Amino acid sequence: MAVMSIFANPHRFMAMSKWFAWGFTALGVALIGYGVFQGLFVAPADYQQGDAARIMYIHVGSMWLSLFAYAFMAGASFVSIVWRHALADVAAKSAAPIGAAFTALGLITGSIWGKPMWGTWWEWGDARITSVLIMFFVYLAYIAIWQAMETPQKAARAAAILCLVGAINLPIIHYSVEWWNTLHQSATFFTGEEKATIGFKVPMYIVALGYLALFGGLTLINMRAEIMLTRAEMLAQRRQAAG
Amino acid sequence: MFDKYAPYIFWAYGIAAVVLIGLTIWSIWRVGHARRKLDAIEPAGEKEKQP
Repeated sequence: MAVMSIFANPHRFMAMSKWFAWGFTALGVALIGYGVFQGLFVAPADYQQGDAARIMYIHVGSMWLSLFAYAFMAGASFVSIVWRHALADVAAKSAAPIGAAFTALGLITGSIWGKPMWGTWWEWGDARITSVLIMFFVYLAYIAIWQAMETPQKAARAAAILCLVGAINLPIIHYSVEWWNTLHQSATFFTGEEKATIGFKVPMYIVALGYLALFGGLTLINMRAEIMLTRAEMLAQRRQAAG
Repeated sequence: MFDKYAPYIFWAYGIAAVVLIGLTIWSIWRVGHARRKLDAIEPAGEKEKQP
């Protein structure tokens, strides 16, 4: 709670966030660039999938990030509803388009990977693919609510509730490959079993860390933009009221 | 390079580059736009207080 209260003041947040925003963004770009180079030119080809497995370095990390971004938004929405933290709504709203973009990227790269491996671009009967698509639609609905409601207060409340309800989908996505017999393979990383060698893990984790840093940087940049736009709106209204 | 899977790999990495670069440029444009909008409306004395 002490950390939360430090960042509750938008002025203090603006003072502290600037260098973190640009620093994380630069770190993210550098890590992704290095990880992609490793994934394309250094990592070995898979013994079953051949070079097609190189798509996983951009696909898997983007899916991890899309789940992380949604969990981040759900946490911020919870804080917004319970404690009315001044920046919680701004954080969730700023993270939404970034999370949606990573989800779209995960779906598209997964589809491209699926064609040579499964023989199809898309499989509606697959629980993992379908549950991720539902999460993508929830992201879009969340963004739409902010645009559609009459006041920011109403929008924040409705969006936070939608986000928390949509969080039910997170464990469904995670466990879908265990609960149902899916075309999508089961988890390869962070399973406790040695399913991938270090040659595959290094580029995978570097790109995933890069995505995480980029998400942090871009979310902070968008939070700063959101705070400035809100202040500009408030000043415009004040000027209008003063005549 | 990349054998018969080359088109799939190039498309996947190309789309990833477009999405990530687009997202970064959009965010930078958005904060610049917000800064310009605020600068245009904010009283000069208030500006000095802003970080």
